[in-house]
Amino acid sequence: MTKRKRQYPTLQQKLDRPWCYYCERDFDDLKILISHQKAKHFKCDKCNRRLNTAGGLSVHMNQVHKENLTKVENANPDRQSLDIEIFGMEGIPAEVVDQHNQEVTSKHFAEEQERARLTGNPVHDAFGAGGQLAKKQKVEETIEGIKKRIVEFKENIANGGMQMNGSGGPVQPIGSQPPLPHLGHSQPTASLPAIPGGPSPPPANPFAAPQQAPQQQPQHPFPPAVPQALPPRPPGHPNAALVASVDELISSAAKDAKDVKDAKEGKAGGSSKKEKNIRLVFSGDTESPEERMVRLGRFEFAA
Amino acid sequence: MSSQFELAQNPTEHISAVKFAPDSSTRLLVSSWDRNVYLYDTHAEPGGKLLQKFQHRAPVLDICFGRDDNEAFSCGVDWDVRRLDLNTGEQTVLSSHQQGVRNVIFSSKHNLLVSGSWDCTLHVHDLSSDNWATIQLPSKCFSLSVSPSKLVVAMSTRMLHIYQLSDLAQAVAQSNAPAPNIVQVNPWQQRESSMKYMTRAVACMPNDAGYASSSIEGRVAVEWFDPSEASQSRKYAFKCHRQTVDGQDIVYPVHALAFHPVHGTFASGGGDGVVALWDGVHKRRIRQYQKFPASIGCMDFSGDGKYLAVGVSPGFEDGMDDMPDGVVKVFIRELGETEAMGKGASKK
Repeated sequence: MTKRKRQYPTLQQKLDRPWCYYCERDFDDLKILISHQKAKHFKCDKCNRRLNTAGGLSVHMNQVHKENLTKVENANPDRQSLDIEIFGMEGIPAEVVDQHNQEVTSKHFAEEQERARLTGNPVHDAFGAGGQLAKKQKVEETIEGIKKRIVEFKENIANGGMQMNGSGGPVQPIGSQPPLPHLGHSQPTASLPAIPGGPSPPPANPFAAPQQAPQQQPQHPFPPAVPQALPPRPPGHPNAALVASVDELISSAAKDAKDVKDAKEGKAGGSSKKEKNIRLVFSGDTESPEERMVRLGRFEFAA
Repeated sequence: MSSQFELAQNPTEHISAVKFAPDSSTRLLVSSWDRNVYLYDTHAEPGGKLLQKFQHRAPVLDICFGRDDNEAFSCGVDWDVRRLDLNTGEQTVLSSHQQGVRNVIFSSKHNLLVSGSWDCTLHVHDLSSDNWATIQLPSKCFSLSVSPSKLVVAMSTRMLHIYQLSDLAQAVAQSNAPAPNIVQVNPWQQRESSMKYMTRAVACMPNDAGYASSSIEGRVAVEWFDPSEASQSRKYAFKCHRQTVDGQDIVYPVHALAFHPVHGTFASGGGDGVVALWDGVHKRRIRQYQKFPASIGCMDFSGDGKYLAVGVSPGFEDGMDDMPDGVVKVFIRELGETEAMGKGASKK
């Protein structure tokens, strides 16, 4: 058995993949890269002989077929030069390596961000290169603590201030963190040190910013703690507009939740997105084409 | 080398089935909605020679060869299952269903002829005794296929029954009540199609290991008989016979499936007029042939696997109130030595 691939490779795994200087394709394995280069870029079009390098092919063409090789076949326009001796990953100029790594990195974060947006899951390996999952913060809780929080929670409700971002809201699932009931004071502060920094994208990531629209408050796992009995106010919303903004939050959250659902369904079975743009040429579900043909009349037979 | 030609004299209406004789790879039967069964020698002269034509009183929906190259069985819209003597042209009605009869199939090993009808029954004929029995199905029969030991019945409502042919033979042998002689035979396995849409065709692997089925929604599923978890987890389905036009996916039904008798690979034919060859074990497409001029309604490999007959007719689509005009032709493709060979086989 081969090792099961991680569904989404980490940045390091992507950076480690061998890739072809000439066409920027990447491969699982150095051997495959080399055979790719021999087949695509270093193959003689006269006799199909596969050489190891562009230089080798040039010499071969010269000596065997009396022809001059001018460029590397199937290469990107700026990589057709014969002067650079490439074999596998060897010989690639440093600046090209840097450029490639940069592209892989930015693409990696873009994909990650897109995935986080679609699924609502937190960005896992925010500090990508580590390849480690950010561990969930373990919350130590005692029975007393929980009981106390229940009492406070009930008081909260009695006071009319339902925590819109705490526990139990049906639209919550998009919230990326485990839905800890969030009640400012009662939470032992010591257990929450890592949360503010939590799963936010690395500061260097240029793609992080535009994703967080101000209305998407509910995705913010932990709004700033507020005194109990008062609904938490999303920053920037004046008190008067509170009700309206709550409605807006709920509807946008519900929409997000639906998006997530769609995305998941798309992954599981036939892609539901595509489904809309599909036309079945024949779409009966109990009657076969032949039975319909019989009913046309022309073929009917009266026994 | 591979080459392809079309028969010179073709039926005038839709082709419902093409079948090669068991012992001769140039003897071909074609049944048609024009109420005829045609017998050809495909290589007697260029374009094949029409040897004989057997007229029926209603459109013929399926045909199969029997115990030898001179015996055939047909069924059709007139509810009858008939035996045809290809030498004399004599027709005998073996049994009558209560509805149109969609399929007939013959198992040489068990000497059984099975017909499947839209009246939700199978008729099982024991050819050695001329006894026959009726088996009730939960829904309409849409497709039949036999492997050396099993019969697979694909039905409407996506049901699928797998019978042991030996069970069927035994049941018929033990019961000789007058027609309809209903017998109770429990299927060896009952399955639901692994595809969401109506089953269109089913075909058994020649090595008796499993079967492929196709649906009206451009999909083919490959499954194994062996009920063990390991075998069942190998089953899969894939999309095919689709094309994208202006961003819209047009999905064609997969009308026909046929296994290659030697290599165990299979061909699928769809409403898009495409025939594709697949390696079901390695999950690879081996090749896809150039588009035929109309929908592929039926296909058959010859017994030695050298030829592939393809019945091409205009496809019936949603919303049609008459059959469209179009090409009705039988194509014979001569396969190259390794043309239908799977990936694993070619390594040897």
